[in-house]
Amino acid sequence: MKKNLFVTTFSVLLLFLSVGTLCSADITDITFTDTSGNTITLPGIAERVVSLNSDVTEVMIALGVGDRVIGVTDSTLRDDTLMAHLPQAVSVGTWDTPSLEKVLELQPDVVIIYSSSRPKNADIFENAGIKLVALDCYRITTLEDDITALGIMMGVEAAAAEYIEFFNKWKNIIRERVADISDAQKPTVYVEGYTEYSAQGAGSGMDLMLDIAKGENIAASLGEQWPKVTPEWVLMQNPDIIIKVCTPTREVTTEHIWNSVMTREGLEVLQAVQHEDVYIINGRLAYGPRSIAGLIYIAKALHSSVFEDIDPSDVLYEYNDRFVSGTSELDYYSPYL
Amino acid sequence: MLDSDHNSTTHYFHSRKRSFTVLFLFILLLFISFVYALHAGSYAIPPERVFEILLQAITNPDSSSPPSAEQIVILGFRLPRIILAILTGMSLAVAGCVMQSLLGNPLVSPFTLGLSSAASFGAAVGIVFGTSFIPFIPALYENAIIICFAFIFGWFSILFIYAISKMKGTSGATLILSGVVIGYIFTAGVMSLKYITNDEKLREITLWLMGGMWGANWNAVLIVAPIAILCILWLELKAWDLNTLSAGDDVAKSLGVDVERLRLTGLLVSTIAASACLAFTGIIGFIGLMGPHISRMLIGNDNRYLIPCSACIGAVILLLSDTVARTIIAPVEIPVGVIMYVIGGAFFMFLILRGHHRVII
Repeated sequence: MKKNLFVTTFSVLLLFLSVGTLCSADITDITFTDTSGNTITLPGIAERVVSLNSDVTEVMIALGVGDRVIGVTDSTLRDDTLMAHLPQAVSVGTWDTPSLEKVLELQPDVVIIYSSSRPKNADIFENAGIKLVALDCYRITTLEDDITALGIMMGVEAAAAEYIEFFNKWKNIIRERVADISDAQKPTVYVEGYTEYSAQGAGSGMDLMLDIAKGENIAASLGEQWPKVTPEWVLMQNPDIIIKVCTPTREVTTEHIWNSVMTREGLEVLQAVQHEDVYIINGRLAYGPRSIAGLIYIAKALHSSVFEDIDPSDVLYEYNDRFVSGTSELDYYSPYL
Repeated sequence: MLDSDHNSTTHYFHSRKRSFTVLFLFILLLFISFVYALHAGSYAIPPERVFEILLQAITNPDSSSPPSAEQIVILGFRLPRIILAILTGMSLAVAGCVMQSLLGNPLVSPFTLGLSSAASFGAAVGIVFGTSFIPFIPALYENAIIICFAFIFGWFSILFIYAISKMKGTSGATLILSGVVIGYIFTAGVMSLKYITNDEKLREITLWLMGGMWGANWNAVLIVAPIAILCILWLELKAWDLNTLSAGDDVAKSLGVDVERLRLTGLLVSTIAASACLAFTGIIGFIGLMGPHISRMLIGNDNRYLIPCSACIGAVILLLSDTVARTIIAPVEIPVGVIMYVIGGAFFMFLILRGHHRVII
């Protein structure tokens, strides 16, 4: 009898210990894959985050956890729209050389970096025991995976799913409507970056968007992501459409840039200029969490009859109302479609 | 005595004949390079069509019909670019040649006096802060912001040199050291601007610093041409005085040359010519070193022939380099500055390995 009691008690105790151990391992540890393909394991959801990536910062606001961002870059600090949602954030320097001392002082759970460009002092951070997580949240093709990973990291999977639902809703509308457009029917597009004749080639953000929206990027075969091309090559290609990505300011608006492209010396013979198929798009819509609105704008620019009933600004307003307020009234594109 | 005089005279005429022959050959080479550059490019245009377009432009410049794409390529893109490359090559080579004579140092170039650093800083200021000025200027002149800043700051280098010369004299060592000071100060400025600006403007600054003919248009040619031509002509008129400098400052003074004034005005005029070009093209190195060195190897140190020969050689080198830069991996364009550094490095390696090169003194 005593022996049976002892065995039973011991077994129950053992059972409790096992369950306790299992629970402590399962409940606290979280695992996800970052943009670089690394499997990241954290002892719990991140409560204090330093973000060196402004697009990730914006996504965190969209997921409702902007108050957990405690450190941002100088460039994010200058963005009033984002800073209105970041009550705890202070500057940690630049994205490529953040201040180790400041970051240590803030005691973050993680520091978010770009996958393609590690900070120059990244090794120092890792040696100091600071966890670096590479999440991009700017390429339209990896946005869904990045936001899913971010949702797991922050413990807001439901909010992440809501954003992804919003993103996929519009992306699927585009895919369905351009499904019947053959390769031969794709309009040719010259995409220019900030500097004149700096084209955007294969693998660039705009190239990925053109691929989804069924546009033919004339610079895609040049072997570089941002090739500097000659004006006469653009004339020779005579693209159907010109899209210029820019960063408008109060002094230099998208409309102003549109006029400068339309009146640029030598381009008057291009059919795109003659038909006024020139479109200026804010870089904010070419990359990052607002890029779905940019994709809608580009799709409509490429296939106006197919997207006649869709207004890109509707996407922006929905994003503003559901995710990040204050983002709907900026200078995003010209002309209005 | 009579024999040595006769030999000297014969040698002089042979030397002069050789100089004219070399000059003629380089002018011919320049013409051939010009024709080649006009035909080379991404847009394939038959040679006869190129000739037809040029003839049409000369005989009927005010044609009312809208230009075709081919006319725009030849007359709007290639021709002003070629002319700008020629003017820039000439200006930089002549400026280098004259500066080497004035300072008695074969390694001096238009950049030695801090011109490139100052102009680079000006361009960087224009790129980073230029948009603030856009509301105050006509849209037509927006691209002129960077050009104006580059030229203005290039001028600062001249003013600084002038101020130093007034305080400390115009010896070669003083002026070169002044150039080093300017170089360091403005380089620090450029580095600071590159650090604080965003990625887009950083790329634009980097491209400008590499040098290229991207800014070439007829407006640029109309501004650069009179400045470059007048400066080169003025420097050629000073060729005799420059020749006397090679015998030393004291000998030159005894022959009636105002050495200090010559040195200062020569440097100022050389810098103006170089600065006017660099404002449009960015930093293009080695022309000011290579052009005079090659000329000196061929025709000696007589500045009457050295200056025009340097001009021709500089023009040929830059024109061919630019043509290669825009065609070698067409339609992608390489900054011509990259080509120049490769050629310049190879050239000076050749001089080192050869173990023999002309020096001024």
